[in-house]
Amino acid sequence: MSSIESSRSGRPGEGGGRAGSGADPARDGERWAREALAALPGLRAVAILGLGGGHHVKALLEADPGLATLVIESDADLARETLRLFPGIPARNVCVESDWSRLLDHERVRSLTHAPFAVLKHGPSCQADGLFYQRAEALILARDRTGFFLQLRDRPALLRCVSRDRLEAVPVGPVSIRTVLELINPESIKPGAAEEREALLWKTLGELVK
Amino acid sequence: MKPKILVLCLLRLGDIVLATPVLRGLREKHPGTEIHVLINGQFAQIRELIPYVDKVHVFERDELQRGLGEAKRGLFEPYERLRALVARLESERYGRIVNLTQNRLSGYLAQSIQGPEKIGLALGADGMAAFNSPWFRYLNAQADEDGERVFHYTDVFRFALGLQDGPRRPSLQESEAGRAEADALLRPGRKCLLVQPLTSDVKKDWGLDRFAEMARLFAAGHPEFEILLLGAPAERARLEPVAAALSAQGVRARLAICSLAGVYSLLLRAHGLVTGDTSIKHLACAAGVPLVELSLGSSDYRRTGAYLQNSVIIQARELCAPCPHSKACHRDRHACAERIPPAAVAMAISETIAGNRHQLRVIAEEFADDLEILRVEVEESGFWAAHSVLEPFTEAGVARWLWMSGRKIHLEEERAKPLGGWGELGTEAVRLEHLLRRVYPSATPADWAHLLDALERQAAMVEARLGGFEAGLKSLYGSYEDPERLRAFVKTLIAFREKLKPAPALAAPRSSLDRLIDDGLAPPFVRFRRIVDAIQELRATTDIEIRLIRSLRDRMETVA
Repeated sequence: MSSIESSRSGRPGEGGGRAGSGADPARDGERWAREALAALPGLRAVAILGLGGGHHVKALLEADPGLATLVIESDADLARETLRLFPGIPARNVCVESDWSRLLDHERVRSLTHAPFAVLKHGPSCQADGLFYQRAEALILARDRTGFFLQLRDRPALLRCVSRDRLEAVPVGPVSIRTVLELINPESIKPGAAEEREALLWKTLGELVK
Repeated sequence: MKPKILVLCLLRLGDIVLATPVLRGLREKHPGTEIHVLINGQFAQIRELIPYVDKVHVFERDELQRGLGEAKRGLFEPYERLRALVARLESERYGRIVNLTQNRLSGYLAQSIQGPEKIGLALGADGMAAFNSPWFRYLNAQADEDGERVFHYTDVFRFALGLQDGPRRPSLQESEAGRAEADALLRPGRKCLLVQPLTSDVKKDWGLDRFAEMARLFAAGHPEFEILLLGAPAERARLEPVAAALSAQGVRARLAICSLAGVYSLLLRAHGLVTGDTSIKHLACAAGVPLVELSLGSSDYRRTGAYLQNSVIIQARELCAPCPHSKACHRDRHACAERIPPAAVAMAISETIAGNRHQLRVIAEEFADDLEILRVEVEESGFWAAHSVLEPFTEAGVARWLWMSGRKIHLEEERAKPLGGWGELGTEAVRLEHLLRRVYPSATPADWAHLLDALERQAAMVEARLGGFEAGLKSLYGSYEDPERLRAFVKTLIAFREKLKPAPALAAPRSSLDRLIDDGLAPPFVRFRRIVDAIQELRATTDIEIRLIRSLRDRMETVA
C-alpha cells in the first residue's frame, strides 16, 4: 500500500516513490504540466496515466482549466489519500481501477475514447506499476489487438461492418488503420444505414495513408 | 434559416483559387443562399481573400495523417476528429453539396455528409460512384485523357453547375494586411515585374539560373522596371543569393518574401508576372496581371492553365510533356526546362506586358525548334482555349475546336434546344466562329469553305457508319454473351478504326473506338453496355458537329 509523506519541501510526497519527487513535488508537477501542455497536439481532452501525489494533475488543471482531464489510477488507497489532500482535483476526474482490462467498463473512460484525446504519463506511477499502465495505454489507444477488440465491442456500428472470419484473423501485434479497412466487409453494408456511414468515414481515412 | 450550399475544395491552393468563379457564380445565381467551402487546413490563409463565401470549414488533413501514422496516438482519434467534422457539417443542413475535388477521399467524404442534393463525385462504401452531372461524369472519364481534347477544370465546374454565363476568371479580394505588405515592398515611381521562380515540384522548376538570366535580359531592355522575386519564408535561403547576384550585376532586383495576401496585393500593382505552374499564376489571373506561364514537367496547362485572356504559355517541344505527376523524371537531364531559353521568356513577357500580340509570332518563329508559345483565349470562346501563336490552318486543328464545342453542347443537353434551321446559329456556333477567327486570322473565306466541306464529308461518313453499328448492336442484343458474336462485332469496330486512321481530323472518334476495342477484360454485359453508350454518344456528338459545321459555313463566307 502506498502512503503520502512529507517531502523535503514540506509538501506531500512519497519521498521519491510513486507519488512523485521527494525534493519539491509541486515544482516538478508544474514543470510536468508545462511540458505536457506544450506537447499536446491540439487536443482538448487528455488521459493521465497515474495520479501519484497529485501535484502534476493539480498543476495541469490550474494551467488549463478548460482541458477535459481523466486520470487513471490503479492504487485505490493512494487515490483516496491524494484526493483528500487535493480537494481541487475533482473525484469525477479520477478513474480508479486495478484491472486494466475493465477500464472500458467505466463510462468516463468510454466517453474519453469516443472523442479525440492525448495520453500523458506520470513517470513515477508508470514505473511503479509498469505492466498495468502499459496495458492501460494500449487499451485506450486501441493500438494492440486486445485493446482494439475491447474498444470495438463499444462501437456497434463498426462491429456490424466487420465479418467474424476477418476478426479472428487479426494477428497479435500492432493495429493500424489498415487493419480496420481490411476488416470492413462490403457485403455487411446497406446503403444509407449507419454501417455505411461508418465504412465511409474509415475509407476516407484510408485514402490519407495511401 | 437561409438555404446553404457546401463546396468541397480539398486539393491545393491553386485549385481553390480556380474554384472562385464557381463560388462567385453560385453567390450571384443564389443571392439568398449561404455559400460555405471546405478546404485543407494548410491553405486556411486563403480565407481572407475569398469573397462570396460566408463560412470556411477546415479539413485537418495534416493532423489526421499524423494521428493515423503515430503509434502513440489513439487508433480512433482520427476517426473521432473526422466524425466530429462530419457532424458539424451536417448540423448546417446543406441543401446542396458540391464536390469540386474529384478524388476518392472527397468522394467518400461527400457521400458521408447527409444532404438532399449532391453534385460531383460521391462514392459509396461499395465503391459505386455517383456524379449527378454529365460534366462531372465526363471529368472523371477525362482524367486519363492526355490529348488536346480536354476541358479546363474551371469550365467543367462552371458548366456542371449551370454557370455558363457567370464569371470565368478567378476572383479574390484584397485584404488590408496584404495591401500594407505590398506598400512596404514596392518603390514608388517604379514599374514592377514579379517573378515566381520556385514551384512545389522540382520537375516543374525551370531553374534559378535561367530565371536570373531572364531577369537580367528583361532589365537590360526595361530600365524603368524593378524585378521582385517572390517566395515563401521557407524559400528565402534559396532565393537570396539569386537576388544578390542580380543586384551585383546592376539589375534592380529584390526579394519579396510575403504572405499570400501580400502576394495578391503585389500582383494587383504589378505590370507583369513570369511564373512556373504555381498557385501564384491563378492569383495573377484574379489580379488581371499580364503573365507568362512556363509549362514544365507534369504541368497540364489544358486543365489548369492561366485563366486570363491573352496569357502566354510556353512549353518545350518534348514528347514526354506533360509527365505523370507522381513519378520522377525518367530523363538524364531536365530537357523540358533546358529547351526554353531565357531570352525567349524575356522577350515574351516584354511583348505580353506591352500587349504586342503579333510580336509573339516572331518570337515563336525564332525559337520554333525548341518551344511552342501559346496564347489563352477566354473572352470570345465558350470555354478556355490555348492555341499556338503559329497555329497552322489544318483540318485536325479546326476539328479539335469543333469537337470541344460539340462536346460542350452534348454535355449541356443543348440538343434539346433547337439550333434553328440550317441558316441560323446557336450561341455556341457564334462563339466558335469568334474563336476560330482569333486562332486563324489569316484564313480566307475560300479556305474556310474548302476545309469545312472536307470536315463535313468526313463527319457524314462517320455518322453513316455509326448508323450501321447501331443496327448491328440491336441484332447483338440478347446474344452478346456469345463471345464469338461479340468478337465479330468488335472486329467491325477495328476495321472502321483502321479506315479513320489516315484522317487526322477524325482523331476523336478514333480515340473513342480505341477505348472500346481495348476493353477486353470487362465481362460481356459490361462491355456491351459500354459499346452501346459510346456509339450513342459518338452518334450524338457527330450530329452536333455536322450542324455546327453547316452553321459555321454561312458565317465564314464573309470576311470578319
